[in-house]
Amino acid sequence: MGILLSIIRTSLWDFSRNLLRTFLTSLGILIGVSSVILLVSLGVGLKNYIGDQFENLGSNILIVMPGQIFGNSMSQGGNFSGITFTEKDFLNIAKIKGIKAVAPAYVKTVTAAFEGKTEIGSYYGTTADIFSMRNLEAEYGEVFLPGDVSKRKKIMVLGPKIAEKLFGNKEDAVGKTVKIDEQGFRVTGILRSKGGGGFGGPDFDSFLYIPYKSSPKINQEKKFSVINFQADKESAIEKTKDSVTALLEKTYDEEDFSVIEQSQIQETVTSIFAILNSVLVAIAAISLVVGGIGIMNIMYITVTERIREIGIRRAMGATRNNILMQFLFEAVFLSTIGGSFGLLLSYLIVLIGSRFFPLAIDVMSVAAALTVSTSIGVVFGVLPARKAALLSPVEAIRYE
Amino acid sequence: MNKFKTLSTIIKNSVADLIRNKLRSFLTMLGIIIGIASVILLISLGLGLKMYIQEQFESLGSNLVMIMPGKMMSGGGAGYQTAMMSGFKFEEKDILSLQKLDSLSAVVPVFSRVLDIASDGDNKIYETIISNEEIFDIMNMEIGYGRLFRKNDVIKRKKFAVLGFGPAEKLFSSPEAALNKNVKIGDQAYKVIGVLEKKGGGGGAIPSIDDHVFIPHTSAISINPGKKFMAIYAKAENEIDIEETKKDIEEVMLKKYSEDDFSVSDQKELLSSINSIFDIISLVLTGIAAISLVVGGIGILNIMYVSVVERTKEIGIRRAYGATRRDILVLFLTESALLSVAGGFIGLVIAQLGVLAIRQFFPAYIDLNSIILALTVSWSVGLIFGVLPAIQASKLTPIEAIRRD
Repeated sequence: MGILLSIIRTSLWDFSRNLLRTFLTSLGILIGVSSVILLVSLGVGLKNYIGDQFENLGSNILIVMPGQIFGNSMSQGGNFSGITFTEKDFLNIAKIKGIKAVAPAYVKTVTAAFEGKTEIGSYYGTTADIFSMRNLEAEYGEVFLPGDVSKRKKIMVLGPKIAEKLFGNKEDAVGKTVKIDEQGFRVTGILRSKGGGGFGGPDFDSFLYIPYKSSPKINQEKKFSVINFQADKESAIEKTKDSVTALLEKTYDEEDFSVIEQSQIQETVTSIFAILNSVLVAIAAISLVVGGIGIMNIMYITVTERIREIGIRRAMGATRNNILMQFLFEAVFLSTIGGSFGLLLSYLIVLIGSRFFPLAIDVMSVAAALTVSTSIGVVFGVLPARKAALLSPVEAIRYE
Repeated sequence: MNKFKTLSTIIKNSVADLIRNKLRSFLTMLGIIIGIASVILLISLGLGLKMYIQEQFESLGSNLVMIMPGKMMSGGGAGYQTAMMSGFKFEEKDILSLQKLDSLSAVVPVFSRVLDIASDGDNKIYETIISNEEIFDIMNMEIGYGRLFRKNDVIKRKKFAVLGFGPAEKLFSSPEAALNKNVKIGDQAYKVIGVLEKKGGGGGAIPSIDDHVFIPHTSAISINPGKKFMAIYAKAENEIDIEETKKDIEEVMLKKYSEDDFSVSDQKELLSSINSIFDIISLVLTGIAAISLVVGGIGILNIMYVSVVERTKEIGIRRAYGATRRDILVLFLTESALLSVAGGFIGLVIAQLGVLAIRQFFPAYIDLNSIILALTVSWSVGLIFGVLPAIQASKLTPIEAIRRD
């Protein structure tokens, strides 16, 4: 204990002797640690964000898509299998036990017009189930109901983004008539914003939701590009997946469609971002190595400057090990100070930045920052410390 | 003393000092070496990838025009996918009406699907491209063995297949052995009449052009029963009028489809949108790598301060012998710049070695700009981080400096 205290005291004395040098050496580590931690926190934040996005889109959801999505060939060709699903497919799926809701969708880029103003948007021909299933609520007005679909009502529900584009003020849209391909649809409701899109999940804020039976001109054959369905409980997911697959295999080739769980999509998206993020972190870690080299350089200089002191200490009975520990400790101290301040700095940046970006620091990154900066001190401090320890006392005292 | 002599003396002095502290100079340089090497390597990877893509595009010819379903650049880029999902496709009639345009020298329908290709019990999955005889010309593909299918074969609905080098090699003992054999594509038998020349390329995430199978669209009814196509490739008669040609195509298509259903684009547009994505990624990566240069610069700053303190006496003596403040400033600045430029130069050499090694697996390329960048940046790092210590050195008064120990 006493030895440790004296080591700390000597280190502090040496640091105060060379305040500027100490500051600059730690600064290198500080910059390295904070850039690594910030990038890690961006990765963690993105992962949480994607998780929230998907959770927000409803639970126990499965999606039937054309082509092999997670097959052995991730080639684009999979998407092109070119089949579309029929009304019959969707009605049959709805009959399967354990399925709570089914919403087929036909998506197409269309031009929507209101009083001479036109915007390009995505037509989303579907059923009323889509709203309950995907947790979509109306902020203004109302979403359409199963009855509206069977009555072929010419109505639509707007995502908030497209509503804002067309009307400026979203509230004004309710009750107005928007034209698509010369057909008018009365707006019954505007959805509350879901945010997101762009992370592999669909952008529900930009769609124009229309009962699929109400728009014969746009979707003549009543075909669907995807069918969403919801299992009534988590344990039913596998079973409903098998039943739907078996049902569709009667009509289509096995390779022509896939039934995937929403969580599978989430995992894939998350893992792609994780790979990207680790590349960024690895590149940022180069600056930690450069900072470590700075520590090594300064420690060599310190050893040279303090050769006489080392000689005297050895003469007074300090062992090689004592000297080694002294210098190693200084190096570790330098880099840990840098690491701690780097952590503090990145924490502040995360506090401010998390308002605009998905950023999050977890315990893991705090532990990693401290471990890494300590190890850098050890790795880059050991050579200079060894040099100091190996000096012979007599020569060291004589040194000028 | 003339200027050159002064400069050479200064450099000689700096070099002598740097050599005196070999280990220190080396470690200081090492920071810059690592920084420059990583920045230049990342730039060279970005550049290599960009050039690779450009080559791939150029090999398709600059007068290629692509007609795709959906609006490609609108609606946050999701338009194209949306259109694909909606199952929108072109028809045989569209090809016929486009073929009437004088400004087009070739019109090629494309339908592709990943299918099981089987020969003698061996089967593998390949992307099968269903098209006409002009696809080979438009994609710049040359025959290696046998022959390509011809216009007549397409008209006569011959069940012929032309294999890319990949499937021919994998499914048969040799590419040549594939000729005149039957392969089963889907549930139909096709006779292999030709094998394409090996193009190479691909690897990693990039699919190789060699891994395709081509069959005439007229003989692929079982695979493509609707006789619909997911894209139409056309070759403009002449590259200069490509904008005009695109307008002609749009006019023809608009007679049948609404404006949102399709988009007509040429190579340049596609290339520039791909390039801009790569530029951003490359910029972000390089930016992060540049942090290590800043850390290296701080190392220089630190060491130069130490050096000024150690050489206080020497500075005093120089001043006493008539050196001006400016001389001292220049002396120390030269030293830090030399350190840094030497580091930059070595970093560049290491990056070049790295590029030579990487090139076996991945396109990478160092251009003149990167060399200039490396040297300029390292020089500036030396000056920027050397200026404070140099000012400190120049401000010492001679008497105090000599007295200090």
